[in-house]
Amino acid sequence: MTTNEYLITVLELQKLGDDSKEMKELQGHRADVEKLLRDKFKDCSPKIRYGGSKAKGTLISAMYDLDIICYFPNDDMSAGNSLEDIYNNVKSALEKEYCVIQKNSALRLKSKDAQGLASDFHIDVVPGRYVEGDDGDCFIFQANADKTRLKTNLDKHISHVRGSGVTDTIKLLKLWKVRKGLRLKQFIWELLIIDLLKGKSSKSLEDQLLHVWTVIRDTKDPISVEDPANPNGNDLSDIMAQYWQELSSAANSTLKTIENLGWESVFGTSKLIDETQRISGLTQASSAAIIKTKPWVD
Amino acid sequence: MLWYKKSPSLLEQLRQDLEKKYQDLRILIEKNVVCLRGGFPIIHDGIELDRFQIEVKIPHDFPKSIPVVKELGGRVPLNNPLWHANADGTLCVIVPEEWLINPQSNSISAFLDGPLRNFLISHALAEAGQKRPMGERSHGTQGLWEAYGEMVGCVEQVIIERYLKYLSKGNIKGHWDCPCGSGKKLRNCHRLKVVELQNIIPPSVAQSALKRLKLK
Repeated sequence: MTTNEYLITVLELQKLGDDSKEMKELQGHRADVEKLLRDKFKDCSPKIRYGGSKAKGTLISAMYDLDIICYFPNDDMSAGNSLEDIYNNVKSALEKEYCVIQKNSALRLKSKDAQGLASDFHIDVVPGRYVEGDDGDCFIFQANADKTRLKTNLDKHISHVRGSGVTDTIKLLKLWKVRKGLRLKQFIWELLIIDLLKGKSSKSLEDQLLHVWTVIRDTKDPISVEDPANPNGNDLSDIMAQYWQELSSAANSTLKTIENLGWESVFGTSKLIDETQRISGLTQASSAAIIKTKPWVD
Repeated sequence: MLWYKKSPSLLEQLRQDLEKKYQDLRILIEKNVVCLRGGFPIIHDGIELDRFQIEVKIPHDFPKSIPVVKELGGRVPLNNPLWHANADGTLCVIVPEEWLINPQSNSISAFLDGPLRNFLISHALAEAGQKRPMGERSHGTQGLWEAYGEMVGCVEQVIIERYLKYLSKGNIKGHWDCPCGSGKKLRNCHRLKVVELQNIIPPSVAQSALKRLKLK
């Protein structure tokens, strides 16, 4: 198997089709969330649709959080006068059914029964208000930033990613970021990848990946990227600077790993094992453990 | 002094071990705390059976305290004794003193290969509706008694406590009452057992156990 064939197999394993168990669950939750929000805000007809990786075509099974945007028309104040009011009112509405965790602009939904394994629904709701009318640019609230209002545009983000011609590489590098536990925001990571691969979309997956890692490893100062939806008003340089060293060091170690151990040490095996084999393997792994230990809780 | 400044070889050894076995775990030093972050694979016979996203913080006083682990992928429900997790997301991988008496407790990779790997395998099986193959400790103080009981080789709490109190002292006198409760002097009863336990359980670990039981 060539490296490119291997990488294509990795992508296949990361596919999360609409008929998969995970997606069916997510779509069920999405329908519930949408109904709840439409019932609560029936007078102002918010636009509720998929955002994030589902909309951009970069969803992978290793990280399948679903973003649902809930944007209100510009001329309607019934959801709240300010962006903060909208954020808080959407939060209150969701709290009737969910345990809501506040993130910077999004609201993370968890089950009220936090005891169960399926307590995290992998859903983020992002409230906002259109700048004009009920389409196009939108303002979202930022709870943890000096500037509480951020202009964004979902369609511009989607077309920037979808039109980049490198969505497969974005998926592989998202998987790499997840496996390495890198903390740079996925949105900024995607912008960086697209910038670095400009004019290189016809290259093989292997060449594209090696190019991205090599440039990141060899570039001392953080590379700046521009938010296509808000080139002048969304300065991403501080966030990039915060995580550049982490990114650069991970890129360096990955290039070494490929050289010394091969690609499977970066993205894992290309073989899919079924649940029975997995459980049997885990049981055997447990039996083979030299030191036996038991978990406890304080 | 910070452990990795006191023993730089431990950190270097860790780097080498991670390069060989856990390539996706990265070493970060933030605010003087060494932290491992990234993917932790469960591999057996060359097959990756599962993978967790984790963060392992190595305490300043390592190896006197054990590493603190969090699962970052949302697979372990928080604040839930059934899943051995605290509200702050830290996992109760093992009763700390059980690991502190292990001869390999000063190796971080031994902790990753041993208690942490065991915990994650056990969690993956429990998620799939299987029994935890190595069992689990009872919650709270009862679990501590179970662990300390196994360490000192008895089940009665009052006797476990006596053993731990003796072991927490540097010197043990033969004229003391035997901790087994026979009423005999130690020299005429379980002196040999106590001496053997002294070789396994250092006073600092016995003191830590008593503190955790709130008996000191």
